[in-house]
This record gives sequence, C-alpha cells and structure tokens, in this order.
Amino acid sequence: MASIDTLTLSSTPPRHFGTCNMSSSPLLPSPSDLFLKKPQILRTGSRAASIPQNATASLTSAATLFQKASDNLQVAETNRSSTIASADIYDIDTTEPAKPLKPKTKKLAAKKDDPSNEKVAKPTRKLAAKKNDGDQVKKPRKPRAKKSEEGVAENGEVKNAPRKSRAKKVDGEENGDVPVKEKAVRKPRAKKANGETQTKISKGKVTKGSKAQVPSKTKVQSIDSAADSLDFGLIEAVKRRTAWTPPPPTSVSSITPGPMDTPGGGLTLLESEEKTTGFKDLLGSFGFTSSDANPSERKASYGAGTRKRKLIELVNTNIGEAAVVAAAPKAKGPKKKARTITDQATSAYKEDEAEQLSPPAPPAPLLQYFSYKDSVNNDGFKVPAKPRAKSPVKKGLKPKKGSAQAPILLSPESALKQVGNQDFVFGTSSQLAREESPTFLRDLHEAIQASNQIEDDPFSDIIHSSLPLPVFSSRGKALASAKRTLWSAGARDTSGDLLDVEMIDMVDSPAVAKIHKASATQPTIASLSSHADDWLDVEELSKSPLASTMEQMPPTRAGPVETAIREELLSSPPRSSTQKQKSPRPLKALKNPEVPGPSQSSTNLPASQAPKQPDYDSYSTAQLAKEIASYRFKPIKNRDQMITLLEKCWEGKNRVALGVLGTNKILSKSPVKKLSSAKEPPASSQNISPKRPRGRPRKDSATSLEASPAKIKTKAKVGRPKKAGTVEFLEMDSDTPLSQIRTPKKSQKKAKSPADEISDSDTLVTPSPPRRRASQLGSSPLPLRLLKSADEIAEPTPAELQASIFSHITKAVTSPPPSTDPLKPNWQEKILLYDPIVLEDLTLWLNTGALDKVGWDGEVLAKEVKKWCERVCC
Amino acid sequence: MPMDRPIPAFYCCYLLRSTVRHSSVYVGSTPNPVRRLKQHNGLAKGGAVRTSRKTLRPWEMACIVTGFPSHIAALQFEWAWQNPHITQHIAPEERLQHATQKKRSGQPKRPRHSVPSLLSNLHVLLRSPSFSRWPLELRFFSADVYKAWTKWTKVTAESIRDSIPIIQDFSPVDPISSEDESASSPKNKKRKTTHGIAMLPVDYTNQKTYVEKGKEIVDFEQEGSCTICKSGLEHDAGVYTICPSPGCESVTHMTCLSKHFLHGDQETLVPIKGNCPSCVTELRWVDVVKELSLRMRGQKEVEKLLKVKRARKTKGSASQAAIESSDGEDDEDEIMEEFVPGTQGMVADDWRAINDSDSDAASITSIVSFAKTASLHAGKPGVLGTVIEDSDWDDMDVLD
Repeated sequence: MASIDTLTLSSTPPRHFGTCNMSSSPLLPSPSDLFLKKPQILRTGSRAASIPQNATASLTSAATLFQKASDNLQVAETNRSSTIASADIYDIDTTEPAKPLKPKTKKLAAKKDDPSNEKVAKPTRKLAAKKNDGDQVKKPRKPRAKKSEEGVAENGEVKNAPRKSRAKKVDGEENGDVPVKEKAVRKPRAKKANGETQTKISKGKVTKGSKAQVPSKTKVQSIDSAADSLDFGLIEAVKRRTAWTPPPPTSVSSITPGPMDTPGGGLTLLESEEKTTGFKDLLGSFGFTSSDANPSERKASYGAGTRKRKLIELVNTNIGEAAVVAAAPKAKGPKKKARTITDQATSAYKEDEAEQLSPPAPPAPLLQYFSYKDSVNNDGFKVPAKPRAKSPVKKGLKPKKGSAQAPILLSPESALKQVGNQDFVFGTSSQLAREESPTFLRDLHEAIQASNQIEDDPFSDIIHSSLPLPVFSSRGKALASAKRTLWSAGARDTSGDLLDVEMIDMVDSPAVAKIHKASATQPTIASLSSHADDWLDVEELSKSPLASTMEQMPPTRAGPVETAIREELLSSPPRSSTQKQKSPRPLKALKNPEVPGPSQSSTNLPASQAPKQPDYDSYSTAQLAKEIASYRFKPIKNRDQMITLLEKCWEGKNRVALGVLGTNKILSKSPVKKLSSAKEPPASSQNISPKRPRGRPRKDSATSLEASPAKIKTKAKVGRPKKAGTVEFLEMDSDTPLSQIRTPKKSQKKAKSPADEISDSDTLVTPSPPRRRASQLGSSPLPLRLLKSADEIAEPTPAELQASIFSHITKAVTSPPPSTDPLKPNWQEKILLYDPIVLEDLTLWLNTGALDKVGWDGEVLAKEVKKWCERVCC
Repeated sequence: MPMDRPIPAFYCCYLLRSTVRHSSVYVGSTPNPVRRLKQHNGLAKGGAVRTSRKTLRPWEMACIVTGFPSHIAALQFEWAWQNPHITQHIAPEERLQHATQKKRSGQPKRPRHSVPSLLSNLHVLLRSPSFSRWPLELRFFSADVYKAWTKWTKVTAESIRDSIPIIQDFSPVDPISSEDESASSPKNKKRKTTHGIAMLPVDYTNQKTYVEKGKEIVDFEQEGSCTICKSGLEHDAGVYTICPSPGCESVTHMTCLSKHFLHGDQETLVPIKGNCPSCVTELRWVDVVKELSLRMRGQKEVEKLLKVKRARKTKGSASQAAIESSDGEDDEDEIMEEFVPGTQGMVADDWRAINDSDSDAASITSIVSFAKTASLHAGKPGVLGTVIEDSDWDDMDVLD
C-alpha cells in the first residue's frame, strides 16, 4: 500500500513539483531507481508485453508507442494523484527517494521492467528530471497492475489492479496531451527497458498459450512461462506488435480469445508471440470465424465441465419416452388418495387434478394416456426437456383442457355474475353431502338471503348498481355511495369534470319526494295498492301450480296483463315455460302494455296507476331538455346523459311517491298471503317442478316482504329511509322478479339496460339463474313459513323497543330531582343548559342504575343514546 | 369534562363567498365574524389557507347561522354543514349530496360546494332533529343568496321550524361592496353600523341588565321559592332560573321552568320558548339559560360586563376603550389604536400579544383581561382562558 501511495505522489503534476518536490531533489531518486530497475527489468518482461496491448495507439514507431503508452499511464497516474492524493504530496516528496526503492524491490520480486521500457523509448526528448522520477514511479505501477490482472498478487499490488485499468482508459483519451514532457525524462533508462519489455511481452504471449492449452492452470504458471520467453528476444516483436495492433479497447477481450486459439496454435514461442501480437488484429478480423468453426467442440468441452446434468438429461429424454411414460403412472399412483367426501364435493372445481386423478384408475384410460402423451411429448421434447416425467405429461394435458371440456376462463365480470348466481352453502363436507332434501339447503339459503336482504338498504341495491359488489354486507350509506358510481359517472363530461347536475341530487332528495307526496298523495295510494295487487297475483301464481293459481286469483284483480300472463303460463308447456319464465324479461314484457293504458290494469284509479317510465329515447332533444328543466336540473348537452338523468329522476320520483304510503299496505297484506300460501304448500311441492323456479323467486319476494316490516321497525330509529326503501323494494318487485333485485349481478344488469326493458319485450335474453330453479324444484315452503312467522312475531318489537327505550331514557333523565349543586347539574339540567353531552358518560349513567329506577330492565347502547340525544336535544 | 364556560355571547357559522367569483365558497365558524372576515381577507393574521388566494379576495359573509349555545355546538354544525355527504345529522333519506368519489384514504370525498348546494344542505340541517331545536337564527347579508334560499325553500316541501328566525340584513346600497368596505376599513364600518356583521352583538351587552338583575337576586339571596313548584330555593343549592323581565322577580328551578315551557310535552326536553309563569312575558329559553350559565360559570364574563360600567364612571380613556371593545361594535385593532396611546404600554403589549394568537375566543378573553387590567391600572397581564380556535376548514375546496 505504502508503495502505491508513493507512486501516486510522484506522479503529481508539475506544479506540485515546483513547490514541494523540487526541494526534495527529485533527481536523486531517479538514479537509484535506474539502478534498481535494471535488475527488475529482467523479470518484468511479461508485464511489458501486456503494456503494449494497453497502449494501442496506432503510431508508426515502436518507441513513440511505448512512450505514449507510458506517458498515458503517467498522465493517468498524475491525474489520479492530483485528484486523489494532493494532500499527500508533501509526504510523497519526502518519501520519494525511498519510494522508488520500494517499487523497485517489488518489481524485482515480480515483473517491473515496464517503466524501464518506456524510458528507453523516450530518449530523444526533453530532459525533465522531475518528470523522470515521476515516470519511473508510475511505470512500475503499470506492470503491477497487469500482474494483478493476471492474478499474481504480490504484496500490496492487488490494489494496483484497479489503477491499471484506469490508466488504460486514460490512455485512449489523453494520448496527445501530456506525452511530450514525460517522454523527455526517460531517455537514459529507456534503452535497458526496451529489451526487457520485449521479453516481457513474449512472456505474456507464452502465458496465453499456456492458458489455452491448460485452461485449468492458473496465472502463476503463465507468469513463469513469460519469464521463459524473455530469452528469445521477443522485444522487437513486441514493438512490431504494438505498431501493428490497432487500439484494442479492452485487455480482457483480447485475452479471452487467446484461449480459444490455443488449441489451433501449436506454439513455438515465437509463433505464439506473433500470434499474440497479431492476436488482436487477427482475432478482431478472423477470430469470429475461428470461434464459429469450433463452437460445437467448445460447447462440448465446456458443457462437459459445466453441464453434465443436461447431457445426462438429454440422453434420458432420447432414451425414452418409455421411461417417461413409466414415470407418469408412478406419479399418478401416489396422487390417488382415498376419496373423501371433501374431494367429491370439491372435485368439480379441481379440474386439473380431477383429470389426472380419474384416468389412472382404470388401465384402459392409462393406455390412452400414453398414446396421448406421445403425441404431446414430441413437442415437449424439442427443447431439451426436463427429465421429470410429470412435466411433459402436464404439457400434454394443458392443451387438452384449453380446447375441450374444461370450462373457459371467464372474464372477471362474467365470473362475478356467475358468482352472483351461485348459491353458496357453507358447511362441513359431511353436512354438504347430506342426502336429505337438497331443497332444505336451498330454502335455508334463500331464507338467509331474504333475511340478509332485509338488512340492506334497498335503495342501495336497487338503484343503478353499476358494480357487482357484494350487496349483503352493505351498510346503507357506504353501499349507496358505492352504487352511485355509475350514476355519478354519467354525470361527468368527457373531461371527467362534474357536470353541474351532481350538486343537488334532486331525485333522491326527500324534498322532492315530499313535494310529490303532498301533491299526489291520493293517486299514489291507489297506484300502490294496485301494484301490490299485481305483485300478489304474480306471487301466488308462481307459488302454486298453475291451475291453483288460476283458481285462487280473484277475478276482479285480473287485469289484461295478468290474464296474459296466465295464458302464457297455461299455454306454454311446463318445460318451456320454466325457461321463459325464469327470465325476468317476459314478465316485464307482459307488464309493459300497462304503460300506455294504466286504466286497464287495476280496478283502482287507473290514472294513478304507477306511471310507466316514458320512453325518453323517443323524446326529441328539446323535449328532453324540457323534462330536465322540469326537474330543475341545469341543461345537459349530452343526450344520453339527459336520458339517463331523466330515467333516474323518473324512477326516484315514482319510487318516492309510492314509497310513502306503501309500507302499511304491505304489512296489512302480508298475513293474507301467508294464509293462502299456507294452504297450498303440499300441493305446490308436489306439483309441477318446472314452474317451481318461478315460484321460488316469488316466494323469496314474499319472505322478503314479510321480513321487511321487521326491518322497518328496527330501522324506525333511523327514520324513514327504511320505509322508503321497503316501498321501493315493493315497487321493484312489481316490475322485476325479486331475484333480480336481490343479487347484485342482476341489479347491475338492470341498471345497464333500463331502456331495454321497456323496448325489447320479445327477447328472452335475460339469463335468470336456471340452476337455482332446478335445485329449488323439490324445496318445501315450510321452513320459509316458519321463518315468516318468527318475523311476524318479532315485527312489532324493534320499533316499539326503541320507542320504549327512548321514553325510558327520557324518564330516567327527567326523573331525578334538581341538583343541589349548581356546579354539578344533573343530566337534564345539562341538557337544558345546552351543554354538550358526552354520550359515553350519559350511557354509563343510564346503565348504572338510572334506567333500572324507571323500570327498564336492561342496558342501552351508546348508539341508542345518541339517537335519543339527536331526537331530544342535540 | 364538565362544561366550564357560559353560553357564548355569540357564535356563528358562516357561509363565506368570494366576491370575485361567487362559486368559491367556504364554511367556517367564529365567535367574532368581523375579525374572522378580516382574517379571511388577509387584513389580519390567521385566515384559512383555503381563502388565502388573492384572486378570490375579498370574501364576504353571505349568510350566517347564529345563536349556537356552545362553541362545540357551533363546531358540530359547521362540520355537518361542510360535510353534508357524510354527517350523521342528516338522515339518509334526507341527504341531498352524496359522495361520488372516494379519497385516497377510502373516505368518501366531499362533493364540491356551491352556494345553492350549501343553502340546500343548510336547509336540511336546520330541519334535522339534531339542530332544529337549537336557538338558531339565520341571517342573510347578500340579496342574491337570500334569493337562492327562498327559491330553495319553495322547492322543498318541508320548511324549517318557524322558531328559527330568518333575518335579511342587506346593505342599503350594494351589499357586496359595502360588506367589503366594512371589512376593509374599520372606520367606515364604525360609522355605518346599521347593517352587516359589524352590527352583530358579539358580546353579552344585551344581557347586561338581565345579568345585573340576576346577580342582585343571587347576591342578596332573594331567591325565595320556586314560582312553579313552590318549594323553597335554597341559596346556591340548585340551578335556578330568573325571569329576565325587569319587574318580575320570578325565580324557578330550571327543570320546573322547562317543564312549564314545554307544557307537558314528554317527548322533548329542551324548550324553545315559553311564558314566564309569573309575568307571562314570552321568554326564549336560550336567553334564560344564557343568563343562568353566566351566573354559574361566567364569573369573568360577568365581571367584565359589569365592571366596565363601573370603570367608565371612574376612569377616563382606558375605560372608554374597554367599553367600546365590550360593545363589540369596534374592531379590535381599532380598540388598540385608541388604547395604546392613552394608557400603559405594557397592557397594550400584552393585549397585542394575545391578539396575535389566531383565536377568536382568545380575543374575547383578552378583552376581558384588558378591561380588568385597565380598571386596575396595573400592568398585570390577564389570564387567558381556554383558547377556542377558529376552525380552519382545511380541506375545503375552493372552486376553480
């Protein structure tokens, strides 16, 4: 290390010398260096050889080349020193005399003549004693660096290696800059060096040859060989080479080709030298071809060393598909596990494994498998395939699946839709495998769904849900906001900015609803009742066998629409009818006729009959604008947006109008339904299964309806939203089968095609979930009944409960006597003082005795207390 | 945490609107609208960032909701007004605005506000059970905003409770410019205090006689017996309300009076107004309770309110300044101007330091302390009460 430092210091630019080095008498060290170097030269020949390679400048005279190269090196060194070790300069100066010694010694040990060579080359030029010193010092570095590259690490020289590389780089760049001064310095030494350097060069070549012959051998050997080559007087050759050689970019690249040639190069030393000299040139031009000629050999040889495995594998593949085949069955053997119920249950969903599993069992399929595999395997083995038997097999299988039986990969959307249709029943596999009524599970599931449905904010579900998000987890608001997205998206213009529309959502706003309520209370009642009737009819119809429904249906109610429905039901054979009826569309289509003539549909006020949504598409743009204005929206340019908006407005309007009064009606009617349904159950279950599907959704709707009152009560705390929701729910029922409403997918569908619903009545496109129907066929209505009854019982409670809770809280708060300490007012006084009420405290107080005192046995939740507070005080 | 403050003399939520671009709006709350408006307009320190854009200045308070019974109540209302899309105070079916987007955090993003949207939401809020029984008042300072309001009220089927007065307080000339003027130049404002936020009584001056009366009764332990339940009112052993009307000496239990006001309504707890059982004067419940809260918790305020008067008799300029400040018709800066030359610099410095804090509440208390120190002729800095920050509605959207 120390030696390195000294070297760098010496190489410092002339300025430093002027200031510091001059005093230290740079001249003195140079002679000593010279002495020392001579012996060094002998050894360092190999290094010298390497140097010329580095200094690739295309110069006519060898000497100049050397000089330049050396200069370059020096320059590089100076650069380094200036940048790196400017601070060290002082030290260097003092140490300089000593420094040369160090490098020399090192050189002696290894190969240090490069500097001397350079010196020799320079003779004619200026005399700069200082520079000489620097040069000398620098030169030794070069060789060292090379050594390090070669792998010979002497003393601290390992570190030199990076320097060397730097120097080389610099060479290319700075040839023209500094060379003059430095060249002058070297005159005396250069001669000696030349001879040495040449020898060195030869060494380097030799080393290459040796490497080529014995790649495994290390660089140490190459060094030795270099030493041998010294004797042959290859110096001149080196010069030639340098003169000839075009500038090679990197030493490394030149080196690497060497080994390649070695086999071809038989190798007298001279020849090897020449080759090395011509190396770059020749290789540069021809190297590639040579490499091309041998590639296979090389690969083979190398491959033998490194890729033994692959070779073996290749052999295996060649040998045998048979082997592979044999392996395959083995692999399958272990896979055969005892069939568990879980496997059975899930087998349908593990297609990959299922295929693999099933074939192995019987021998015959196995054979088929083989043949199949063969065909497939060919493809697989083109690339040196992995030896494993399984992988080829899989390859074979995969294409199979993609094409044939395996289900097509669904897009996320369609997958979601399917999921929406899919009923999931969770349980242990043994539970799932129970043979007892599949319908039981169905019913259970649907009942659960229905009850879940109750929890939801019906608005959120029904209103244009653009996303197939899971509805059941919804809490009213979040969902509502989520569902809004489609609507809100529609309210954006092309640049993504909100249109003015969104600021006030008049459609949803209760205000509008109220207006409508106020204005059209009477009509709405009528319409609602009529609607409810329709709904009832449909449900009954669906529930019971056609005949029974027909009989049961009160003649008065039957409007043209209903009759039409019945006719269709009757006329169509059960199978086909099930198909058709499953889809919500046909129903709608039938109902649509109502629109034009509301008077027909019901005995009640015809005019008030739930208005059918006008076909906004048929409106002129001006009309649309007018309509929108009537809703107090700002004008919208986009016609589509106008239509969507209007549709939404219309929906909201009607929904609200119906909603207000709807709840009671429904409640009153629900018991009737139950009665009727109760009578039917046995018959219905026995009856035609195909119609079931239809009945199913209806039933669900019924359950949901009946459940809804309970929901209303629970939500009574919240207020109207629930009622409105249920109402809307009902209304929706009248229009579309409940199943649509219930599953997010369906609602989405509806949202997508509001216009379609009106227009295309003929198309039975909508895929209502057939599976569900099929599964439901056998289901018995009884469990549902039970559920209903339970709901009925529970119905009154929640609302009443809350009411009573509130009254009790009020009582509890007001009952205690006025406080006697004005600083500690009781709760009532706090409230009277408009003090902010800390809910937790109040709740705590209520639950720790206050409520007991007023006869309420139980605790209240902070949530309830909050509602109470909002209602009563703040 | 027990409430330790009396019902504030004044607290309002305001709808701030850029006079330059009317679509830029801001909702805030403050106990001192004049001061706050100056902050918004950059004339005083501490305006909200959202209102700092120079191109949007000056701002005007288009309408304000006053009468909040506590700063917390005001903040609640303010938040609800700012966030009509998510506030719990608006029942879901009443909600007009829904979040159409989500923030990065997943929270629903507030839809942009405009004057009409804010007014409609204000309407909803004033109807909501949470706020409908508060002793609120609605004031409009700009005609067009009021027009929008009336338009909306016509559209909506429900109307807000009629116990909430709606006051039109338009400048005789051009509401905007005058508002602007008053905000920018205190002198002008002082001269024409006939309208606008400068006219608003932001202190207890109006309650002064009432407070004096109550203080007298309590100090001399003349509570007597409850006018309603006839039971004796032991001094300092309960929460008693006193009739504000001058000649009436009716003292009652607060709970008794509330029941009396409610006329047996079991459902509600807090009355809005009623008649004094003794003199049958119609009383607003909030007035009664405000005095009560002052008596119970507002020692400082009462002291200030009453001491100023005494000081006025004895002291010269300083007391006058204090009075002016207490009158609330003057801007604080103005007070300072008058005061600094007249009295000790120390007090002035102290006051100024207080004023620097961006707190309207602090400014109120500082006035109190100022009055105190002035009357005592002592350089003692007053003790600051709890600081109520103006709520800076940081994520307000300034419409672009």
